[in-house]
Amino acid sequence: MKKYRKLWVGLIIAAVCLVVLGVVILVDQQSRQSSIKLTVPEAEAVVGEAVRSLPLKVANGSVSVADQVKVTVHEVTYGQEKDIILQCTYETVDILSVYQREKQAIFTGVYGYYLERSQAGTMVSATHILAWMGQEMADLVAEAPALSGEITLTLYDTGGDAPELWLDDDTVNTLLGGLLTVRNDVNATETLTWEGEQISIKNNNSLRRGISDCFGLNNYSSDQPDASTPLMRAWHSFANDFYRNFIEERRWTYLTKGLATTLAITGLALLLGVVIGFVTAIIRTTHDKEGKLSFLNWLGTLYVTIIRGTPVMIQLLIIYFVLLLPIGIEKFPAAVLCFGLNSGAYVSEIIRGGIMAVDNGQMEAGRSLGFGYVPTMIHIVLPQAFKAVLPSLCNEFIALLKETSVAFYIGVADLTQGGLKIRSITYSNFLPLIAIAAIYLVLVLILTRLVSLLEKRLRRSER
Amino acid sequence: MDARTEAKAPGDRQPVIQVKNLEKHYNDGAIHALDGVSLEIDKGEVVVIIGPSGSGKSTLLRSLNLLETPTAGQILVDGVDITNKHVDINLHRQKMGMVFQHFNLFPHMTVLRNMTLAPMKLRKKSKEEAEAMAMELLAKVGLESRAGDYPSQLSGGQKQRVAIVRALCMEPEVMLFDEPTSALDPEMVGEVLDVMKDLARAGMTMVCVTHEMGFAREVGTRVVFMDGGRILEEGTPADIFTNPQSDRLKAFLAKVL
Repeated sequence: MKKYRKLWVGLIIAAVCLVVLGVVILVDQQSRQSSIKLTVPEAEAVVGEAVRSLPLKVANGSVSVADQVKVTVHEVTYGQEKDIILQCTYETVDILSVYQREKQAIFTGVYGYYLERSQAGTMVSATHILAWMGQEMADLVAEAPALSGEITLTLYDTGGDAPELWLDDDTVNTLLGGLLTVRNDVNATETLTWEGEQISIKNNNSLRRGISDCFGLNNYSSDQPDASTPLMRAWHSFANDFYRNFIEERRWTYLTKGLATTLAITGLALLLGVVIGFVTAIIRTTHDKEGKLSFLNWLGTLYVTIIRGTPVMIQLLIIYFVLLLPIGIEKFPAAVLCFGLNSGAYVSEIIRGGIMAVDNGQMEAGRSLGFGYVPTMIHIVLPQAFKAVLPSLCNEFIALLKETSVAFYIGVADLTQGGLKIRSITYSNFLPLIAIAAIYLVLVLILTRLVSLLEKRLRRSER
Repeated sequence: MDARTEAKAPGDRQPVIQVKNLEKHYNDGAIHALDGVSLEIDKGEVVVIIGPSGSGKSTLLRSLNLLETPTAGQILVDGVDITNKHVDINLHRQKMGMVFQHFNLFPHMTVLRNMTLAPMKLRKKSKEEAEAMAMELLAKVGLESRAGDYPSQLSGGQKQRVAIVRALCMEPEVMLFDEPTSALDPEMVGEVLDVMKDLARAGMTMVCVTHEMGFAREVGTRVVFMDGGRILEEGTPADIFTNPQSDRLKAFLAKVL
């Protein structure tokens, strides 16, 4: 049972997480249901208020279509979110049919009025146009046929005292007898036929504004009331940000390509570092044990001192901009060389420590059997030293992985740079930076796990 | 013991090791660990070196295969001066097995691999040959069942027995023992001494630094008493233990016996 303890702990944590998630979702859903209950007359009052407050006056207030709309509610139901759904019958006047029938006449009439006034030398303003058209329109609306039908309206519980009516454009258009279609048509054409000729009135400001204002819907907008909970808003904003930062234009490829570069730099630098570190460690321990190789030992000590005594970022800048850029070497090999040299110094100290930690009696035993210094090192000392330092070497690898994040300073497109690139495109800080951190963290966790498995195996083989 | 005395008949003397005026200084001559030691060891002899700690007995023993580099003097093995820089010391060491106080088995290898490594790499023996010999030697010390174990799985006495047969795998002419029982729990000393006694009876030339006076008396053909980096007295165990001449030997024996 003990063998599976970690598994159990993991399962319990997962279960607790699921329960918490479930509770959050439940609470959120609860908060998304309307707490208001309405009777039919109450619902009708809300609808009446909403329709009357629509800024829909035809011809500067001389005719209000909204006054002619009657809505009768005959059923109230409640929806999934904070919706209160009303089944209604409406009665209104058919503005659209009148407009389509009389459009040519109205436009021609207003243009004739405009020409007549301007030829008489009078300034014709938008207000004049509106006044003239208003009278025409008022007559037409008064003659317009009645229109009635069934419609579903949605009330929203916005968390205030009363529910608000959310009228989308289609609903408004239906209730006002096609007035929005009329408005859109006027704004789209604004040309008229005068004595068989197409005349554009786009450039005649007073004429254009006068006609547009006549249909009085320029201030109208149909925004949905915000009934979402903070959690929903956060989720929507997160989902939106996520989409913008990672999905849109396949921006996640910055991260995956960067990750590949980071892994390549780290792997190659590690190989280089192990080779350099191994050679340096052998030179320095041989000097310590046998007193030979003084010059090489001096060189090795100098190398280790300089690398360990300066920040890796400065080393990177010097190696690339001072040493390698002038002879035309690319960024990637420069980064590999820099991190290889850097990690070599640390690796050499790790291996040196490992060799020095092997009991001198091992060397003596090997030598007493007749092995020379080098064969004793190879067969007896180094295998033990390596086994002892393998976990430290792996930890150095993990540290190296994180250290390579400064490679972006010389413009290597590594993981860090990939994330920063996304940040510079989307101007968001949170997700790109968190994504970089999360990827590094996951890599480090995986590697750490592997190292601990390795350590366990090594310990087992010792017993 | 009787067989040994026969082998040592006059005129049959052929020194395996001759030590001439050996000196070893530490700290630029401030400490004289060996101060003019001369010693001859014949084939088949079991020379036991005794003395208080710091007397230079371990230094002398370790000098015999140049684990310590002498400051002055000569060491002749089969007539060849091994202190000469042009002599291949590795070849000479193959002829001299050494057993250490702390066993120094290779912890990353099995018992069998510990024993076959040197014969295979240095004597170019085949794996089968080396393993057959190792198993035979292990059987002699009663450890054939532990051939596949790692040193950490063995007791101290078992480790030291393996260390002895590891050295024997190189078929040495001389065996050097550097306090082989000092790091052992008392109940394990006997099993190691038994192996050493068997080895002595088989005629192996042995030089042994030890505090086991019983072993010196029973197995030694000659006992050498050292103090202050010098050999103060040497002679048969009977002479040394029953008729000590110098005051220092008397004082030493009074403490250890």
